[in-house]
Amino acid sequence: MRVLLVEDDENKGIQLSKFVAENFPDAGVVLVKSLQSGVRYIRKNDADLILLDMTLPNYDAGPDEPGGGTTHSFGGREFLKQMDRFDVIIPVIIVTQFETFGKSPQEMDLAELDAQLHADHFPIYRGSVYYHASIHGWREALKKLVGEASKSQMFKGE
Amino acid sequence: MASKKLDPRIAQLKKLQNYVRGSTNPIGAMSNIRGRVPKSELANFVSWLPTVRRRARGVFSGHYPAEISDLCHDGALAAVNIEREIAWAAAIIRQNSKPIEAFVKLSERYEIALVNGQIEDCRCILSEIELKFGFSLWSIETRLALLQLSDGLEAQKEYVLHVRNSRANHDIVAFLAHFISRRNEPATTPIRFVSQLKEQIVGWNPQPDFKAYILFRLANQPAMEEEEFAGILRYETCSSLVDQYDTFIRLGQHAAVFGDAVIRGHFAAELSLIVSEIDDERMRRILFILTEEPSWIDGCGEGDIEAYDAALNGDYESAFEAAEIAIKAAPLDVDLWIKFAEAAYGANRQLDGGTTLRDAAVSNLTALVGKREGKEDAVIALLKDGLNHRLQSFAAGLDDLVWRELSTDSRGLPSTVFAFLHGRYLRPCNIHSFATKKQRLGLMPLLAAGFKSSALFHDMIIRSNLDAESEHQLLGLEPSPLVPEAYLDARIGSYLSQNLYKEALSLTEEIRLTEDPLRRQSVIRYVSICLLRMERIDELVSFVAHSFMSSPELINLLPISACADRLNKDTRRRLAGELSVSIVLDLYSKNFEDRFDDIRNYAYEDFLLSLGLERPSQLGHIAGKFNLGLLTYYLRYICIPTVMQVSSVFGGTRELEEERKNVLSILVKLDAKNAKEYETELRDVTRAQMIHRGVRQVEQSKIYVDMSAIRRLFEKEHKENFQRYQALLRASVGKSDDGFVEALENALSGAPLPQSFLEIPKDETNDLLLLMLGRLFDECRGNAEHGLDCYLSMRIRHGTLSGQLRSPLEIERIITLRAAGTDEYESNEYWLAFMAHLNVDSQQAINGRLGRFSADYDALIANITNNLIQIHSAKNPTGLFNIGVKSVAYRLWVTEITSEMTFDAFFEKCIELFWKSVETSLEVVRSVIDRKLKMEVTAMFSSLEFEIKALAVGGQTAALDRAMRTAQTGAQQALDLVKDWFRLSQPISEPNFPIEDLIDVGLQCVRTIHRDFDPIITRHVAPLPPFAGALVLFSDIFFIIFDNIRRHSGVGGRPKVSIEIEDRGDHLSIRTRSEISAEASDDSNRQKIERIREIISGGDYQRSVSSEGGTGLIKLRKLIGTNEKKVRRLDFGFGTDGFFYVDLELGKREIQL
Repeated sequence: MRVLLVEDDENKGIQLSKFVAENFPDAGVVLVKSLQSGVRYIRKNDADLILLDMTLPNYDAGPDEPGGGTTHSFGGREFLKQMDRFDVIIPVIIVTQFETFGKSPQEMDLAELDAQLHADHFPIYRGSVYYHASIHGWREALKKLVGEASKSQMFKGE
Repeated sequence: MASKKLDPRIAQLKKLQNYVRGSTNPIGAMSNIRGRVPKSELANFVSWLPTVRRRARGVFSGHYPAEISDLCHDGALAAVNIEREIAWAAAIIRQNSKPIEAFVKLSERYEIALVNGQIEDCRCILSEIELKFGFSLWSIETRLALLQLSDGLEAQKEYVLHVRNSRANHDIVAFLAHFISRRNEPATTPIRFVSQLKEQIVGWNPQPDFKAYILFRLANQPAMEEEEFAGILRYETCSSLVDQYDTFIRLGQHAAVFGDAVIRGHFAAELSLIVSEIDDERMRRILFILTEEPSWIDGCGEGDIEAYDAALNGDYESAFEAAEIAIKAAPLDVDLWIKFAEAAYGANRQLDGGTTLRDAAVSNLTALVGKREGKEDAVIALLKDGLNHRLQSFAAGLDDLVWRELSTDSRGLPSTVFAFLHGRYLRPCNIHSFATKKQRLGLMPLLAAGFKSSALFHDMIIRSNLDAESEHQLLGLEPSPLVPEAYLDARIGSYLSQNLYKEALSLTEEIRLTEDPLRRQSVIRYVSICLLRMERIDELVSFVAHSFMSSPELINLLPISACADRLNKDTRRRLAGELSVSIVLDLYSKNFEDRFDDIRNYAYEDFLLSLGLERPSQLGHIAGKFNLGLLTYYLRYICIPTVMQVSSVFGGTRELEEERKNVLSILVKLDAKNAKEYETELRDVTRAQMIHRGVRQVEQSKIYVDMSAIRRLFEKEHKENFQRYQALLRASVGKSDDGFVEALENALSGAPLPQSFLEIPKDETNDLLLLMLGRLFDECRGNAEHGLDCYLSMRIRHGTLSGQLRSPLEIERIITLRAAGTDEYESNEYWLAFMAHLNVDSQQAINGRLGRFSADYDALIANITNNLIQIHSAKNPTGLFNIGVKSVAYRLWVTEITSEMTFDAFFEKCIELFWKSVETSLEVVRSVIDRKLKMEVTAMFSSLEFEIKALAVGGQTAALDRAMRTAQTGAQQALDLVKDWFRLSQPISEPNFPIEDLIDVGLQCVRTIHRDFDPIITRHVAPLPPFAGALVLFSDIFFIIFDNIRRHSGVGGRPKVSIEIEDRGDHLSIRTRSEISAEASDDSNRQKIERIREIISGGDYQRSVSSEGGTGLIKLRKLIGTNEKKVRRLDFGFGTDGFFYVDLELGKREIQL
């Protein structure tokens, strides 16, 4: 199984990579750290599953711009739109450590966003997990969603 | 004798009359039973009611309020169903038909005086109306509009104050007057006023009928539903007779346009009874629409059409003259105003503006019709006239023209029907107002009688496709009063009315090249309508883009919104190679809203991909393949960084900006007439890049040691020691590193290092080296002017870190400040205002919890600055900068120190070792931020959220919850940014900066943290060459100056600041003056400044710079005094004119001019 991890937070990236290694020992993980790196990757490469952060910088952080340019509160949603634009069909699970997104009046909480993403991007979008470094529940929730995604027709990995 | 049995309805009436007569509160009794009076007896009941009086006051005494305080004195009557509400109002009107008719006549006189600019007459007539019919909402609104027009804002505000003073608190009349006054203010935009009012009303959560009443009264919004019609009428039952009548007529108009069959039927029934008793043409027009019976408007005045006929045939000069004359005879004929404006545009006549309301309206109409410069302002002015004077008949006509001009397809707009209902004359073009063929055909005989030979009549007959069905066969009529082009135009209209779009489109070809400017607009409309209705989207998109390129002023005619709506994924894919797609979507973004911005951005890139390209600059070589106008628009307005960033081709903002510069270079050649603009943008982008680079360099220099200063000190003290060390080395005194490298290599292969190598050998040579290295490390760590601790203090601990971490919480108003002179935090008034629905105990408890949170959060920041971001020492055992050298590393390093190396090389080796050690500490700091501080912050927020939920005891705190979560997200992101400060500076070659850019770098460093700080800066800078190597010094100086202004000026985020820089030979003089509030210059602050002055003059500032919470002025002293035997001047204080000044001198030697 090839897992694309789109995540800009260093610690969370490590935790998620560990999670994949522990639960899916045969899986390979590719980590990209920004929205555009993710889009660039899916346009040129294939994957069986995408673990996607919601709030993402536009570009990889670098010496010239440590924040990675514009931060997209709904970067994960933008990524899904770009998948739709380029007809990329890979199951996606959002893993986020934020409970609210955007600014009023566009602000929405995770449940609202989840409903919107289901409506706009199902079956590619498989669900979201609230990640918290000090709470273990996310692992079980993510495991369950990965299990469900692996049963979907679009899942190509073994 | 057998008693005569009463009709049950009469009996019921008598019973209810007795009930009211016997009541001590007859108005209340009337309110209670008016729904039970038999409908057939309602008029009798209403006509009887005035006989009931209590304390010399009748039940209808509120009909003629003698004072403003009497208006709406009694509450609205109890609700009844819509049929009864209409019947009740009609009965009252019929009972008072004579005075109402008198009011109608007077109000018409008022309107004539108003449009003619006879303000004194207006005042007299309005006073007469108030004297005869009492005060009314109508008279208050009319007077407010008049005062705003004639005497301005102050006068109308004075009047509204008078109204408010005449009324009790929480009063509907005062409330309405207040909002009408706000609406009429010159700065208020009608559309925004209406949308904001609607938003506000949602917050008030009123009953639906009251909401409808407010919107009807303040925003001229029509009633749509039965409940709204009934509610609005009911709320007027307590008002003056004038208001009851005016509202009844307006609702009748709403019923004619929006009402369902039931409401239309009720109004038609009652109006048909009233119309014979009151001469008011509006009623007849309503009845015509409601019943489709043309006899109702038989006798309506015929409008002058000479101007119409001339304009129709393209003779705008004649039309202009005819309209000018006709308006004098019919000043309220708003259709003539419009025709006058069209003729002025067609004849290219300049209007002098005039002084009257009508002159101004015609001038604005001309700008709108001609799509001239300033048309946006004209639209606002016309809508404002329409709303402020909504009670006058001309208002509906102005509104209608605006909406028609802003529409692609203006057929069937409700505003056109309203314009007819408020109109005062009949013309053939009124046919446009009618929805049904029956109405149009019904009007034909009336129109034919007066206008049969006119061009306008012929145009309308053809256009409305009535020729075949009416008895006025025209096609064979010779000579036709229509010129050929006008005839073709009418035929296109005919096809459109029959939905024959293909035929209509074909015919537009014949008049496409017309020279008539108004007809040209019509052709664009026709083509747009045809392509849209036939769903020929590909052609429509292309047509819209090309039309905009050739006539950008006609943008409002183009169906941009409809086009954008139809650009779905498949269509976009099909049209990917068309420039028009992204252009149409961009026009939508600029003129409507941003909901299609993402697909506009995709279309930008899809176009390039369809050509096998990645970047727009690659189009430069093949520019000739495209329409020049479209390509120029695409490159100029779409290939901008905010759009191009959608593309994954670019690796960062810098690349995006470089690409924009490449695009601008192409545009300079492609669009030579605008070359100057592109060149200006090129310079701006380049300058912004340079400032960004400067800011980044400063940000990456937070971990800093002034090594040149340290080197001078070190050289002075230890050069001799170094020479001695080298001599000892050459003599091999105590040199004991034999075998170390070999042992190390073995160790790297897995073999243990001998114990002896883990210790620093005790010998003279080594002791000397350790002495030098130890002293150097001490200076690098702790030198009060040049060392790491000094810069940690100045660039991180002194406000910067606090600002960065507090900022996201301040934006969400989660955190407050500590009250002056106490340990208590200020009450969070912002969130208290949101908690009015909670009980007082909950409010106070939550407020207290927010205060504790503020204290906890600031304590966390204080812990970071006071304990963590410190040099580790006995005094600061928790300091994370534990800078030292492990013995193994030292011994490895020593092997590189040779007896042949220069002192400079030795110094570099020492510094290399120092930075390696600092890097280890920086890793620790970053780790603490990630693993400890982030979790602490998360825990603080979790606890806050949990406890506030409990303290609210089930009450709603949704807005506060959202704010807390957003602030939490922001706090985590702020910690990430702070984490990035703790990295070693990357060696970046520093460009030469002009002094102006250095000022901006300092300002931007403050604004990176405090985005709402945006001072208004004036600069007077002497001509100076660009500065090399001065970036960090200048940015430190200006950062401190700007941050002080931000924190202490007391005038918000936009203080005025002036900066003067003069060249004084061996030094620069920098003088800043910044605006301050009176509080900021009070005695206590003056004393503080005096104390700082004393500290500096006493030379005690060197100790102060490493302490936090002090003042930036002391740090400034340190910065400008660097390496100067002569102490440079620093002066500061309060000027006499509300400004704070800082004067300083800077030696040129330090800034390498």
